[in-house]
Amino acid sequence: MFLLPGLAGVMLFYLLPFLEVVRRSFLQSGNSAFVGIDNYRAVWENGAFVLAVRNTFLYMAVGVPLLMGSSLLLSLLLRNLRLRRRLVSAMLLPMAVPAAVMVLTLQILIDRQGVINGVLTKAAEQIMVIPAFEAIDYLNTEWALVVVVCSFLWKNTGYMVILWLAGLAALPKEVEEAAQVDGANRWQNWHYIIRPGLSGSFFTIGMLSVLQIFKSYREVWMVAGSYPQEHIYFLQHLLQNWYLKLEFDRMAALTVIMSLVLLVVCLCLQKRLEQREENF
Amino acid sequence: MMRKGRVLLYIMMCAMCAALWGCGGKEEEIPMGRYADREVKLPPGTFEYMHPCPDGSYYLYGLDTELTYVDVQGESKGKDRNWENNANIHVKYVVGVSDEGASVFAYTPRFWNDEELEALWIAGDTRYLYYYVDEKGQKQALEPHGEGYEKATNLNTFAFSPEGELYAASDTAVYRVNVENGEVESLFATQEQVKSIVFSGDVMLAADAGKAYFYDRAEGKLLDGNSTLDEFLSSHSAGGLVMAVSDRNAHVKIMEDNGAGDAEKAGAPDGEETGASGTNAGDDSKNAQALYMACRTGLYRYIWGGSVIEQIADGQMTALGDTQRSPSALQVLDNGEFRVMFSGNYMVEMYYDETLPARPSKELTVYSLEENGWIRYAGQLFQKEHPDVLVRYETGMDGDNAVSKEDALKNLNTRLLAGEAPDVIVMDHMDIEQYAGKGVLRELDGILQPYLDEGILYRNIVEGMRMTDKEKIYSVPMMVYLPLWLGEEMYLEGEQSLEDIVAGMEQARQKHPEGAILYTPYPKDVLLQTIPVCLPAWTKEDGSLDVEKLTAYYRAVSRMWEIDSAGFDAAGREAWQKNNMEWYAPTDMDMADIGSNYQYSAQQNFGETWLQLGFLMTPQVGMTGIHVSKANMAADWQQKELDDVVTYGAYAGQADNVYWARTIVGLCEQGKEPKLAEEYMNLLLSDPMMRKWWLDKPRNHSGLTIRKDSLGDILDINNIEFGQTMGFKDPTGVNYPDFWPTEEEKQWLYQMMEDADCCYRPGTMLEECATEVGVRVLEGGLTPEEGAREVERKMAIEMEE
Repeated sequence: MFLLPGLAGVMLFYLLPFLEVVRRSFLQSGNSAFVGIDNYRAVWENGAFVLAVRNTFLYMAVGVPLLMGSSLLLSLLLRNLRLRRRLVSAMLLPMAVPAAVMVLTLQILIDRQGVINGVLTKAAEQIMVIPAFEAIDYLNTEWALVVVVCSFLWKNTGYMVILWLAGLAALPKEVEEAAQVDGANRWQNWHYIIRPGLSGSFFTIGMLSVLQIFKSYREVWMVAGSYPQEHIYFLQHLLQNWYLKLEFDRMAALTVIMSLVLLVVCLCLQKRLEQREENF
Repeated sequence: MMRKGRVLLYIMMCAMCAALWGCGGKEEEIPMGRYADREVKLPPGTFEYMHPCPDGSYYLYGLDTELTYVDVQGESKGKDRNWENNANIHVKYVVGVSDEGASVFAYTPRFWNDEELEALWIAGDTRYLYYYVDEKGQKQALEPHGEGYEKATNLNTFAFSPEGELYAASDTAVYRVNVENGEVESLFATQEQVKSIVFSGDVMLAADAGKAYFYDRAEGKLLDGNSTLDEFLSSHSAGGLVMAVSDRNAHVKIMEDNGAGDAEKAGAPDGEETGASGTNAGDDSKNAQALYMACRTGLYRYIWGGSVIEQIADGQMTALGDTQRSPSALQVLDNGEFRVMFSGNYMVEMYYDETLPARPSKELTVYSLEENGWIRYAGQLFQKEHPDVLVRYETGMDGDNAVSKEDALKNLNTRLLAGEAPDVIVMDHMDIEQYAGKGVLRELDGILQPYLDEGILYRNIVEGMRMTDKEKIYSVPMMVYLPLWLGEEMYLEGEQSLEDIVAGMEQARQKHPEGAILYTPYPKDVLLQTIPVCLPAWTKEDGSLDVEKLTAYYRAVSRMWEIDSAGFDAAGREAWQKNNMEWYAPTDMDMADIGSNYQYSAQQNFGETWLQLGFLMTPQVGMTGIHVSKANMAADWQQKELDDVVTYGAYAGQADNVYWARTIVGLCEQGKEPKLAEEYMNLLLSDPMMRKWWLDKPRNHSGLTIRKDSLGDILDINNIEFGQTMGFKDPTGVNYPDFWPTEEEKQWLYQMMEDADCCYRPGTMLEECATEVGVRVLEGGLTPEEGAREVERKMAIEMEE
């Protein structure tokens, strides 16, 4: 009974619309004729879909480990520092920066006539004595993905550091102290005590990092538009462009595929986590 | 417990179903009677304002037009009341008129005639000067002075009380002005500039865009405010709001606000509630002392002291809703009718028609991405012909809400997905193939065939819209633009291609080594003037991009930019750009308009422009613009015999016989009123609609009509009368008639229309991409080859999608 209102809300606002999406994925947009799995086949055979999936997974494969690793490293370094709170607050600033400002800053930095190219040109001329440094158009070359990953890290590291610090704070101090008394070195401390103890945080932070990857699309779109350089053309670009082109049937099929993939990933991670907890 | 839970579950499900499906109900019977309007024929002249007199007569005036009195019978008395222009007046800014015909006006001096004023002007003193002309025509300078009045103040609003006292408002205060000696008495301070002042007995109501001030003239004190009116003014002043009272002699004593903010609660409609009230103001206007207000959303009544502002006429169903015009004055007549004067020489009388349903029973929805004056005008005309239909005109990107094109398209697509399709869509800047391919658009062959069979429309232009894969027509442009060049004949005579334009420019540069050749301050301007005549050639038959042609295009425009830039150093071009933006700020459409862009370029300090590329965007006015530009060009070159030196002609780029389709209209397959939509389309294609628009609103950028007879009619109209319509002060004294198109030119234009068969539609993905990359190519960031490859890469993803 207590669950009923919440359940009704979920049914009404999530489950029913999703079922409608599933239904539409088998219909043709426009005349609503039943087309079986044609939409799924069309999505699968679509070159833009293949490109978008490849780029999205590459972005995820590079961005998520880098974010998790760098934020964990920083949290371990900050863990016992006195200035920890102030530093963490400073690291949270990028999250408070409006997307438009961030995009503008990025453009100032990475434009062909931007700050980075200016500094590199000067450095090449004066320090390295290479007179012909050619300015790079970062957003219109394969460098584009690097730019996107860097901005993703800059924006999200602070938040993840806080999450890791919370996980570290929850670890029982006595165990670490006992290990130190027993002569455990830093590596052993990390490997046998901290790492297993953070496995719960690992799952949460991992999922949040994946979600942040999807959320960072807004900045990418604002910087590079609906048809960016091919290395930063992601699944959201495809969905957005299909929406503008009234390809609702393909959108529905793609949404179902993405939901299934995410579900499988979540289930695998959860199962792995449960296994680890049992072993621990 | 289990049973109770199940019952509760059933109740919740029922409630949910009721909420989702609605409760339904019997169809409501629509009451009869609502306000309609009829146009008032105005005497000759270009009038902007009206001063209403209590007996129903009125004065008309414009900032450059003589004061004209129109009596109760509607007879114009011409110069019956004196209004003498003073030779020293340069521009009149503000005018006030009394019931008896006395007037006051503000102006800036014609400084080159007066050394003292010139010195003032040079010193940066840009104060207005004032004159007062009494009812007998005696004129005297008015020099405002007095305690609390600063010398530097400009008086922006004037109003005479029923007794003939003059009141005026600056940006920050309201004053009483003694017209005899110019003494000014500061009455009260205001938050913003007061736009409107009305009198009711001893009380003066002054309103700015967010607050109403009540001043008791007998007691000499400011009365309490009224939050109902304040809220109304805040939300309804955009686009202009005018006020009038039902009885100017009745002293209004009750100013108490009985319910703050009740305007919304009481159902004061904001344009969403369409004519729900159906109130006839004549029924009780004599009994109740009321304030009337007219703005874009409608005509409203406020009974003094009340807490409700009632809408008595809906803007959407009257001329008030016209976004192209702002109301400038309102007159309340004894019989419950109203007169509304609009800026732009237009006046209507609003009358209560008992035969009309209070609320139209049908609704026709017309959608366009951007505001389109022609379409809005057609809606008003259609509504007049079908009083039982409300034409709801919706724009996806109206100027106020700053919605991007993508967001607007997403909103539209969401509506389509939800089955809420509009009946008519204006497809400008939209992907017609996509919408037609998805079954959103209805095929129009059936509607268009009779027009084509009878030779009414230009077949080549309509056929240019036929979709190649489906072999059907889904949309039709109502207007087109044609590409034209203007310049010295030797440069572009026999021009056949983009390369010829480049060769012409090289020739011009040799002859004129300094300054601009084209009017293109920015790289984007070169693209604006050339992409339309090239873009149709960039797509191969299989739909893929022709990279070679695009590369050739980038090479040609790069060369054009180089030639043009050779006449400047970087500082020179920067100064030109700054000057251009500060003084003219032309839009992209201005830059592409051959009739107007020379006027921008010619007036700048950076030398002559030797060639003009652009589009003929209006029939009569456009051709005249060409002639005027020719004259300006020849004058700049100090050549007297225009036709021998300066000429004009059609130009081609990489595509031949291009026309730029404008106001492209399609009907929605899933629209709720298919029959009405068809009738609406027929109205759009009718001669009166196309012709009347031109006679009523001859404005730039609207296009050449695709109806042959209408185009002919517009080009054949009486030029003198047309000149007067356009506001030319003295049709015989100035040389404008010399510039109207000749018979030979008309025939040439008809032939161009007959030949135009290659459609250019702006706003496609390819164009946006080519422009963005093209700017980088012209700025040197990419080579033409790199640019073309970049466009190819981006378009490849689009094609894959």
